[in-house]
Amino acid sequence: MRLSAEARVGLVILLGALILSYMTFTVGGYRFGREAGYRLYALFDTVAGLDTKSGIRVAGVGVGKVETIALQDGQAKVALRIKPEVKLRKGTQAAVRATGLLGEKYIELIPGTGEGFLQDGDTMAESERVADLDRLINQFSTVAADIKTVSASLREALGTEEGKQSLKEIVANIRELSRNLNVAVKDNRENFTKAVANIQEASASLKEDLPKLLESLKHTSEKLDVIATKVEKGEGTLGKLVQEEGVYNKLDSALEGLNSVTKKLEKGEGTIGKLFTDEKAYDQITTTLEGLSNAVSHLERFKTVIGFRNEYQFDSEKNKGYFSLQLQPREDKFYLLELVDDPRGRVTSTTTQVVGVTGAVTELKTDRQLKINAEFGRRFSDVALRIGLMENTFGLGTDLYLFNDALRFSADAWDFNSNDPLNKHVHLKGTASYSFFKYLFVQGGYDNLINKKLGTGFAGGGIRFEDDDLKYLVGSGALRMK
Amino acid sequence: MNWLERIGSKTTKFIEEIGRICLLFLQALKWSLRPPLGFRNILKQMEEIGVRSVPVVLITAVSTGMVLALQSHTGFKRFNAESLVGTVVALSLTRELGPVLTGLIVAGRAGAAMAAELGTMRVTEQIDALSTMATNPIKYLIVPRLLAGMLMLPILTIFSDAIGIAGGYFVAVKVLDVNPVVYMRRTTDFLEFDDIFGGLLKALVFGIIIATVSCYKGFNTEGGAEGVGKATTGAVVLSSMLILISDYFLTAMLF
Amino acid sequence: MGEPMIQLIDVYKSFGDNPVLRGATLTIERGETMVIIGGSGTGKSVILKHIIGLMKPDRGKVVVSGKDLATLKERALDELRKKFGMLFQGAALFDSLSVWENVGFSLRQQTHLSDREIKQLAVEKLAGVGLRGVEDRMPADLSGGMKKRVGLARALAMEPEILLYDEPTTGLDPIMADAINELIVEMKRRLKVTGVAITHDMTSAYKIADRIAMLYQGKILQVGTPDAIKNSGNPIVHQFVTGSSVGPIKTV
Repeated sequence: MRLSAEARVGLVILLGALILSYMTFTVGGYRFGREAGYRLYALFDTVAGLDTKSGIRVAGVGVGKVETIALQDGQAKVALRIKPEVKLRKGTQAAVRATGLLGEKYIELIPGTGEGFLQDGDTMAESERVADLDRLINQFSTVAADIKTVSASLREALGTEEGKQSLKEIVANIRELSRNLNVAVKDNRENFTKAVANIQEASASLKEDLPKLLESLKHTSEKLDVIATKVEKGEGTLGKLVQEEGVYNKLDSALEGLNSVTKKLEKGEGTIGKLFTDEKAYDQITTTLEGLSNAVSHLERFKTVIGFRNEYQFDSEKNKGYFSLQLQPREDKFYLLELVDDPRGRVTSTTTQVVGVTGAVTELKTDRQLKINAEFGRRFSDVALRIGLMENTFGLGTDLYLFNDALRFSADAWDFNSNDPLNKHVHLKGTASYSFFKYLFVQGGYDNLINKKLGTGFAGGGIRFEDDDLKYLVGSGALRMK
Repeated sequence: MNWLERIGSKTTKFIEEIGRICLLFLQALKWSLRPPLGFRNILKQMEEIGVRSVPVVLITAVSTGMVLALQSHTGFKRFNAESLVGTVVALSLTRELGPVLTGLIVAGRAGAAMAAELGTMRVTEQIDALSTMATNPIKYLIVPRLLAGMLMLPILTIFSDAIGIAGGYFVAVKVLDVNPVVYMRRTTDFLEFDDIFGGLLKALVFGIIIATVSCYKGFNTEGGAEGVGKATTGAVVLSSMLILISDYFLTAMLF
Repeated sequence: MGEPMIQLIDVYKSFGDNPVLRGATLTIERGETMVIIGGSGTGKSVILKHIIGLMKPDRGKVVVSGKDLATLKERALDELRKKFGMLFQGAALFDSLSVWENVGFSLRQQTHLSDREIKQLAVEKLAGVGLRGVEDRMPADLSGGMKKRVGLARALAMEPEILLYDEPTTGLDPIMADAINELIVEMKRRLKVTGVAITHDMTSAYKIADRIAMLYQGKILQVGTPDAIKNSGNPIVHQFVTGSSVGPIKTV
């Protein structure tokens, strides 16, 4: 069989495309458009060692892969892509585990027993922290040191006969004292919480609540006063104990030891000492106020990108400029506003018949025009789709992102029903752009692909700033103005 | 002239040559963006560069895949990790050996032919004749070769990747008795789309290098039949060298 | 005489340290055939390449139908080149294309004619230079004289106003050379084209030239009718046209 040159070339290209698509689909980890399965989120205190594409297992069986890892309020927010056939009950918890002491990290899901199943977009809780070796060793050593001090002091206190006797009473007394303290502390905490809650509701009512707050503070100190006087008067065993100096000293150190133990035990609920000072209250008020001001500037949660870019058109030897503003309220959703300075914005043509030449000669006249792009976009994994106004007409576009978004291929189509005979086909544009620094990118492509007279290749580049950079720029600018 | 001066002047010449090649590439790029493109010419070059290189690329790739499997098996056997042979074969082929070997082979085959053809055209004034007929030689001669190289090298690399992995599989499973299921799982588990795509991007750059260097050498041929011979050798040597050098930088950039 | 078609004004050109043209000045008028004579390696081809813009002068100007070539951009230069046809020394036919594709090359590149129309035109052009039934052959299968004829047919395909001949008779036997000379004369009579030929074949020069220019040491030494050149008092010109090795031109 003898194949034509066209057929041979076509065959080779087709075979290549087939093998490539087969390979990309078998290696997995890459799908055009939305990936199969559904997405769950999990929050962790730490995901050290975990990477995107790390495995997810239920009872050791692989059920998906980690899609993204992001930081949210100081915690790690991990997006998990779960295979569609895997159903997880509500209450499922997640934990970061390792395959061995040195093995790679993966996420183990501990199935819940709740009613119904987790849906796409749900967030899971982190399961109880599995003791990790470092933390355990650390805790053990501090606890052991404390116990050592306590036992040493106790041994000394118990050395004398009379001490032994009084210790019993002391212990009883301490129990009573701590109960009293506990009550006092509880009262105070409630009052503080109430006050803080009031502040959060409205800073206006703060004034009214302040006296109350002061009142309860007074109340607390009064109570403490009572306890202190009791101790001073030598009432009860505790009082007696204060009189006898030798025992007192030993007991003092024992108390100190105990105190540090209880402190550590109670650390989860906050330290007692701190509650008695104004520091804590002050802290809470400050954070509340900060949160309020954050809420006011709600826009801060938007990711904003501002950019300029220029395209040099080879055929017309003119420059096409863009100013663009991108608002991104969510990771997978964005709005794109652009001002386009189009050197061939308005196209008019005149046709003249020249003697001696077969056919007419058509001359093109182009004028510069300012145009507007306003597009809405959704992003699915590595692919984004855009729809909206492109150069003042309805248009569609799609982007393919590769290498952590450094490389982008875009295809756009707009101007579907133009009247001009020379520009009658839909306006197609293909662009490849590569950003080599954070702010700089280069690009090239072909504009107006199927309108022969107006088609042109272009190359160019531009700069872009994201909101962090913008804040810095604006901030330093403001400082300078001061 | 002492040896130091000689090294100096050689280096200057080399850098100068690279500069001219880059300029030629930019010019060709500029012309490739100006329609109309001679589709017939591009097709012809695609056959010359691509289709005719398929057999030799396949043979090279399959033997490379087989040797890789054989060699890495020896090492991994000592750790009882024979199944990792699949990973090594797949990764080294897609990321490195597929594009580089394809590039070198095409440089030797199609690059030499390109330089010889254009060199002959230069010394018999055919290139001048093109200019006098208001046809830009860069557009008519280099652009189709460049586009064909850019398109066909990645496609040849896909072939080479696939057939190389198949060769490795054959040796590992049929000869060395590795569990076929585990072998394939190790291959697909660790291979990622970026590995394949990165390799193809490399191949694209190699295609550019081969076409541009060979055309440059052909275009600048001087001195009759002997000059054509020199141009041909020079094209193969220089494009092979540039492929290997650029491979390092591409690897550092892409992966 | 008529208006100037091609003007070389004080053209300098050197390759590396080797100056080839040193102030060559020559005017070629519309409709005439100018033959430039000179020894091998004196820069005759270089002059031809300057006229069609393949080379740019280091100094001086080349003006073709009122346009300074140095000021023209690529596209304008290509536009101007459509007025030219050039016959190369070795014919410079494209090896990869058949005879008719060679002749119709410009038609295919510059017009939107179909392959059938192009082939038909090519056959006509080939008949014009006395070739029949060779259109489907490849250039490699042709003799030297046939190649030259095909080359001439190719140069005529776009109906140029100016024809350039680079050593049209070199490498041909005397009879074939004369046939080519006849063709050149006929082209001029029939198509009224301006012609520029370079040669060192004096028989050919006398036959085709309206005027002859002698190039020596990078300058035009003398311009005149064939008779004036034949009877030139200049010893250098005299030595060259009589083909003597004795005289002021050193052979070694």
